[in-house]
Amino acid sequence: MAENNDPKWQEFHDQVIASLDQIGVDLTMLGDDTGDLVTIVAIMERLDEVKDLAATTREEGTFQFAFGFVEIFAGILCERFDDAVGMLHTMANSLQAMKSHVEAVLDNPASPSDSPLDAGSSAVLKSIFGFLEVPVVELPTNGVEAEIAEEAPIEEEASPAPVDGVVDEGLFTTGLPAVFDDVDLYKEFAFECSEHLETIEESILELENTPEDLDLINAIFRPIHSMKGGAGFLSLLGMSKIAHSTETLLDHCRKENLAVDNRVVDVCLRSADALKQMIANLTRAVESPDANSFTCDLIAIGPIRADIDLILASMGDNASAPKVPSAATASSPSPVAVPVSATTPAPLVIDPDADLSDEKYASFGLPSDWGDDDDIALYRRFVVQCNEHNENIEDLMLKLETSPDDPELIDGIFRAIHSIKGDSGFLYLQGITTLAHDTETLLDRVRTQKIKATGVVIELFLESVDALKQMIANLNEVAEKPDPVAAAKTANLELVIFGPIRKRIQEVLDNPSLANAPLPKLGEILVTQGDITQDQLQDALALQGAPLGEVLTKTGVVEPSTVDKALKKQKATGGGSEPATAKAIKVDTDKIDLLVNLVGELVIIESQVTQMATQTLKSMEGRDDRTTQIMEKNLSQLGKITKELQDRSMALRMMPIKQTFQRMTRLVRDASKKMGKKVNLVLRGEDTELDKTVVEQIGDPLVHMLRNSVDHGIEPLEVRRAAGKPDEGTVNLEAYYLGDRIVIRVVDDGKGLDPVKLIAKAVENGLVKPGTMMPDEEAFMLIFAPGFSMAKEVTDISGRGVGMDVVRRNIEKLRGKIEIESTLGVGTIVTISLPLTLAIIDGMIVCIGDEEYIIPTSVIKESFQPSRDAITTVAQKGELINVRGDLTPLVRMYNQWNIKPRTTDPCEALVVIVENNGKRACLMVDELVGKQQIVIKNLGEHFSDARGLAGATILGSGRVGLIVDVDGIMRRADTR
Amino acid sequence: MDSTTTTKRVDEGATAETYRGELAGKYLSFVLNEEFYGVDILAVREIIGLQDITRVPDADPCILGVINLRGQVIPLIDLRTKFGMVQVVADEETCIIIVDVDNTWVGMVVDKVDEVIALGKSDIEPPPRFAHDGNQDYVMAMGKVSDGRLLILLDVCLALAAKNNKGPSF
Repeated sequence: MAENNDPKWQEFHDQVIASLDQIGVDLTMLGDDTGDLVTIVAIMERLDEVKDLAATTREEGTFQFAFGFVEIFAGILCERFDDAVGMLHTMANSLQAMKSHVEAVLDNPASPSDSPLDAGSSAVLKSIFGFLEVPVVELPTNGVEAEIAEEAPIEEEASPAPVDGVVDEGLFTTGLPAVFDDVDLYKEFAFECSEHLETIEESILELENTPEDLDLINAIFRPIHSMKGGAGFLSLLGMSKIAHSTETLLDHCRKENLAVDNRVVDVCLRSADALKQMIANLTRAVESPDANSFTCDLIAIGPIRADIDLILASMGDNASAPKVPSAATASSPSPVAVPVSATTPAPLVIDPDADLSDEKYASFGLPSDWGDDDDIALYRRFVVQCNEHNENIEDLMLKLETSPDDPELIDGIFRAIHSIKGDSGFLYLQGITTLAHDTETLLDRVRTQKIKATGVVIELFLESVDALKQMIANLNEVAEKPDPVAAAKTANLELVIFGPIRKRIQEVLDNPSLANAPLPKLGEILVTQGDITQDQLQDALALQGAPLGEVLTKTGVVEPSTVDKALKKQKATGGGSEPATAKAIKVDTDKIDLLVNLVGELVIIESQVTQMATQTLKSMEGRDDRTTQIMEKNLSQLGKITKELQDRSMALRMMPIKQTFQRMTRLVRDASKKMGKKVNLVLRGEDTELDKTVVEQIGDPLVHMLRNSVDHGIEPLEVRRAAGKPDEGTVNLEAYYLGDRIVIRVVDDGKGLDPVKLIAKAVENGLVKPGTMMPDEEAFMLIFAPGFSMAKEVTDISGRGVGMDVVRRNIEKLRGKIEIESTLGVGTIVTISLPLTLAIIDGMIVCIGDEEYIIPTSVIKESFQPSRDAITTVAQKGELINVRGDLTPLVRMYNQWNIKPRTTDPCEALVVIVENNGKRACLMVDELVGKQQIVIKNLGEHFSDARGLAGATILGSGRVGLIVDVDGIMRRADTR
Repeated sequence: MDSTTTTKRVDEGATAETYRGELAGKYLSFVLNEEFYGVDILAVREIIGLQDITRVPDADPCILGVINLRGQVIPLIDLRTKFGMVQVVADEETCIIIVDVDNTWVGMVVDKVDEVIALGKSDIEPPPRFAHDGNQDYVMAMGKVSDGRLLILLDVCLALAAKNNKGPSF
């Protein structure tokens, strides 16, 4: 055996052997611990290096080995094997075979790259691929080895559809992030997961009511599956594991091997919680990288997984269904149906004919396998991200052209390409992955300064980006219109697009000197590729100026019909309907707030300008009609635009209340379980949109209100039965618009509030004086008093008399109103009404003496000058005004705030009738100045004790105006 | 209001030396009832003339009201009232010093703004202790100015912070 002296092979040999030795050490360290993520990732990275080395030297055998090993680890990470430890051992044993193959390569002088695999290596390889393709449990290793040992060198059986004879190594990467600096990827993932978890939780809770609903199970299955895939791809082992366990459980439910009962629902909810926690951890870790957060994951999930196993075990089949890639299932015999155990508990329904090979959901959604809304969403997001990446890359590329040695630029491009590769690999978009991988390889050469980033290379990069863009546009088109035919076409198009580019990338990789050649012209490239001859090129050049298609047709190089087809294709895929544009962008809320604030200022300044301009115009009347007219027209236009702008920018902050409502479902479920009551929460109007701040702050009050309803409202079972009510109590939680306010109602069919008892209790709690009489509505409001509690004992749900006080305070903070209606024995309705937005309100400017105050228009009913006979004085109870039969208390505002009024006679002043919480009052003011939209500003801590003031605003005059808090002023007047 | 508070403070029980080290620096001097006061220049945001003041009902008597400073609503504290001095009619020298107190801007009305004075360590003297005078709490230290004047260094946090200027609660 002659030594091979080519230094290239010597280098290859040395590097591979060194890597393999290191892998050996790592494997020893790893032992049987398949949960040691750090070591596994380290080994996989090394294997990836070896694989890349083999791919560049085109050493088939080494490549096959490396690929097989990587797949094994990928399988272990995704828990594809029942006997992961066994697989580890297999791999450790195979390592030696790989080493001897590499040695053999060096010893083969003629054509090292074609070194045939010796029989031993083939057998090992075959068995590895056997493991990867066929369910492990079913495969007797020895038998296969014996059988395969006789076969000729391994074919590329594991690599689907090689393109241009180039091995699709890009496809095989498991896309583990080699670097943890792909922070955006993790952030995006965390964001997606929180969305998924919302859906999951909602569906699980629904599932509890309709356990037979297969659609629901699928609705849970899909997001869990997406999360599992994503988590696996991002090496989030804990998440991947728990998602996997839950998925297995759901899979059995889906196949009706397991009935959905309480245990299943509980454990699903717990795993959803655990996933939430992990996502929270992840988010934290991403923000301040701290590897420990990830290891925490493993601790949290242990008990849940154990419970899942317990459920599965009680089903008589604790082995999870084999997870097999769909491609393999097609050719391999269908796995044995789940065995029916004799100890199977009663609720189980086992269908021996269940189609276990239906791995539609278990497999990664291939683009030809659309129809799953969730997956489509995944692809859409991918499209959005890729477009961002591509833009980024393009920008950096162009910069790179001017400063080819800037490592930061190259790293930036590298990261973006790497993200695209990883994501597309996860989504099984072969074309994109492969091209991205090739581009990455080329970039790596540039990075390690083996190839210079000259014109040719940059041209190649830009072309790759264009091709990627085209592929992504195709993908988006398919994502918009799920249609397998289109998908198939896309796949074809991808091959067409990236084939030539890959070939050229490969050329540059093989022959770095090409990179330094001057940029060849299009015609020259065509000639060198043999597509046209030199003569044809000359002819074409002579004709240049005409469109390319025409030129080619005229010269007879291609048929006119071919050009037409190509043009049609061009139209269909590119431009035209332009489906590639993103439909949503994410914006920082701070930016929106800033915008809303600025618009608020604009609204004020607009009203000032308009006011002054109108005055000026009036004084100019009759002098220049034309100018006046134009001015007036423009002013009204300005007003319209400002209003529109304001509405639109406020709408940016609006979001549906859905999320908050859904939290309540869970709460009611848990609280009713604890109390041993049956309560059904019905949600209505979840899509009602309101200001983000309101959505966030309404949560706490709702929690207390619903707890109260479950705890105090809904009666115990016996009481309900005795009262002839259905066993299950109902709590309605609804939201709807009413004018410019949003109304949220909690309606229960419980025992209702008893005003007599409430007053008695209030007396007991020292809140009112004994013997106090009050209308029912006021008695109901007692429950909001701090320290008021009906509970005889403090439970862990309620009873401390704090909750409802919190409700009232929070609602007041949001400038909301709260009302209670209740009928004893029938139920209680708590109504909260809130302003749609917090920042801007319509206000009526009033004068009291020389001071200007603003009364929110929303509380104003009417205003008028009272006649003398309408005013009555009640001894010690103050003054009342008879408003069409209603006796309404008169509040002299100047008295409240010690202002020197223009008049103390109400008949000479004006009264504004305001209504709050169902109570009315006449506020006496001196003058109504006008209506204005005002931006509410906080008065600040210096005035936090001032009652009757809701805030301040800047008036048209530039002065600060104070906003009247009608509720506060009415309470104030009451206490005086 | 993203600036961090740089108001000078001295912890109780500090030694005379750290005391002086902490407080040495530049002060904006102003006149109030013919007394010279100094406020840490780093806490001062701006000096403006008297503005249209909106009175806020029920507020502490020493709070004159609120003013509009380019869209911001800022409380205004009358140091004369605060320190129990006689009221005078505002003249063209009366002005408002806007001070950043724990990230909240507060205005204080003074008779006249004087100049910026640099005080070295040796110029700082601990505050005198008089019996029965609540106001001395607001005095951080005394500064000796080269022309022989004594500057009363004001603790703006104590003098202006919301918690020390709240109206009667109901």
